[in-house]
Amino acid sequence: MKKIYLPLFVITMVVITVGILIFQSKTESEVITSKVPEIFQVILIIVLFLFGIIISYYWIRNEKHGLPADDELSIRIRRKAAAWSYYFSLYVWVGALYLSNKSNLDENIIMGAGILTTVLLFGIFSIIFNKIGHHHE
Amino acid sequence: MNNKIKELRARHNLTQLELAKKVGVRRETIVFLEKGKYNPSLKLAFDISKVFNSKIEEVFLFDEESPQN
Repeated sequence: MKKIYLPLFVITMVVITVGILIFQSKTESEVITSKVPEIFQVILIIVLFLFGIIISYYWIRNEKHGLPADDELSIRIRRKAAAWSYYFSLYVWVGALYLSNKSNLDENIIMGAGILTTVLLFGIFSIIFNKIGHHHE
Repeated sequence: MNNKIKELRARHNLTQLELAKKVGVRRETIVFLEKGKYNPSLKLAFDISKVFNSKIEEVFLFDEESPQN
């Protein structure tokens, strides 16, 4: 597979996996649209999928112009965003552990929400660092 | 660190895309360099200077040597 299609593939796999986690926790009689956490997760999955589509579009566009999909700046921004999303996700998972003890929410839903939040944090930090740039620190 | 990439690019009649192709980076990287939002690696600085047939210190300026505008 070409490297440029990798973000699209990864996001699709994440969406499918998390979707399976969420829907597996439902019984046949439950209706998803009536529950706020599930609506939130579905919206989050759609947002992340669109994020992957946008990244893939830029990669494909760069390749068509004969430019690399990745260079030193994009790699450094990605590493910085990954580091920051990791640090923040530690607090997310602590919160998820607390929620799993204190609420009646299904553990699969909490796990799915935790994974999605980590990915969302990575996306947010990627956008922030793509705006403010990167200086050697 | 400031630079004269935009000025030199205009002098050599190069677009951002053409310069990006010559040094092997994305066009967005050239945009960031011109706006001063990114300090390049030594290799990239060398490659850009080579495109403009200039020395590195003629293309990239430390703060105390910023051009007076």
